[in-house]
Amino acid sequence: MRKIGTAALVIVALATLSACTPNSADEATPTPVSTSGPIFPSVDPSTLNPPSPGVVDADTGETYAPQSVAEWDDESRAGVIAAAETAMTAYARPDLPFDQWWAAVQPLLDQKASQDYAYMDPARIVATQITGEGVIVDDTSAYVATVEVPTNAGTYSLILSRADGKAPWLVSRFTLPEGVN
Amino acid sequence: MADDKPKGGILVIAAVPLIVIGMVFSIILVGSSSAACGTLAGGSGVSIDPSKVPDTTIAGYDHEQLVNAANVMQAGKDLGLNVRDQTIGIMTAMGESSLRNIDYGDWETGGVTNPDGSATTSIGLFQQQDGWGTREERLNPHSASMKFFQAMTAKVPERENLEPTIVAHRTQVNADPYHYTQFWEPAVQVIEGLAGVDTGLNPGSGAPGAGCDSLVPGQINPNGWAAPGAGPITDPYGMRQHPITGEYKMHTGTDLAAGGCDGPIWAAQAGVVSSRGFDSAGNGTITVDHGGGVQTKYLHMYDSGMLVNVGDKVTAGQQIAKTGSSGQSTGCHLHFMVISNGETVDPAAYMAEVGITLG
Repeated sequence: MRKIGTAALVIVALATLSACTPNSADEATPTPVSTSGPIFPSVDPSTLNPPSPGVVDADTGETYAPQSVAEWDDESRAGVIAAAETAMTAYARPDLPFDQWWAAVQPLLDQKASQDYAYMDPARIVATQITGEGVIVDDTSAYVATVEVPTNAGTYSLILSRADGKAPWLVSRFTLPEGVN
Repeated sequence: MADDKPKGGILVIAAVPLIVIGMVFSIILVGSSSAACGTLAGGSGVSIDPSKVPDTTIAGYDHEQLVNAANVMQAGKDLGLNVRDQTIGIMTAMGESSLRNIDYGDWETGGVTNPDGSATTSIGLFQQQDGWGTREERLNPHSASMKFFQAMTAKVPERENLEPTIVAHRTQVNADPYHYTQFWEPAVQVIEGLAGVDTGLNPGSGAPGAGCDSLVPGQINPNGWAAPGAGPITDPYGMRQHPITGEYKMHTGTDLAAGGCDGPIWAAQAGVVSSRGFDSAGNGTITVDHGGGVQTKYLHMYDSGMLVNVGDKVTAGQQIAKTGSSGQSTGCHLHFMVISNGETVDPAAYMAEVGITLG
């Protein structure tokens, strides 16, 4: 079972005691309920009234189409590492004036990061070049990855996500190396 | 958020039946926002005479540091700022100087230079460079704090809707916009310890919306699922006439009252937050990937009401947001969606399969 399945099991045991997020299975107390983890119904989505392709979503205004389900295959792994390295390369340019830096970085960010990194002074960035290959360190979800990218100023940790299996990977966070800042 | 422990009273309540819980929770939410948050976080600030700070330690900060915090508080009070702003000031000073009045710059210690090659001269509680004021002003905790707060109010007028670290970052222009997040919880502890009051501020360090109100956990059923919000259903899934445009469109989720404005929104199942932000129609949206080809989406929150970020691991029933009315919405509600193997499906029908009755 996936990690989240295990985590959910722990939650079932602790849920009525605490809102905390237990991180390891050894925190689990004897569970009063089933040991099979969360139950995912084995229903065929087509029996649950999916919209007809082409109808307009009243809230988003988008035309409906089924999503491509994301999975971790070789292409996805290579894709997210490449996206992380590209983003880190664009980010690690303290020599650029903000406008130029932002023009290269912003298209690689998700909506929230586009808000939050819009108030940066690139001159404060300590990294100037990537010194090795990116490594995926968290792949719990096929839609989200944490990728570590080594630089001359230490290892940055990037969080990237994709809207579906065919969407581009976008960065939501550059976490600075330990001790930098 | 792992650190968002509910207040003691709520823990006890978690054992009583569901219907009662819904009622009690709404009372708690109203109570905390009107009693603590409304009067303090939104109103005038708090203070303590810096010369009367007790010789004690709070959240690991010693007497000297606490006196500096008292000066930050006093400056905020003098400027008529509220307790949330004051706490942002303390958080920022923690992130800049560990609340110590450092009288030498990074140039002296590490040869750090500005982009133009000049020596950095950041000094004082807020590590302010030459442009912020005279050396004396920057090394006086009160006047340094005044300068920080004046810059904050000028640069970030919309700060009530922004998470504290972003307010600090936009004022200070740090190398990492999220640098100050780790200092929010100790800042809340310090200000509450010094002022001797419950500010109503949520100390949860990771909560982007850290503002008012404590978080409340949802109810998990034996299948490991939780309702995403309280009922009733205000608009079901299906084709319908849009209330604003009048056109017939697809309503892709189940609308729930979800406690009204600022009511709790709970993750329906454990998972990883895979998106958080606003879509092109302005809908504040959180998506949680549960694995097994299942995702849930939660719409219409305001930015300050989204309490988790991409990559966060959430548990079933964890409060991840506060009900809002952003985007295509005519009043506070939750638009809850379920995506199964790539297809958007009827949330009420799907949740019924796991034993959760929406509404």
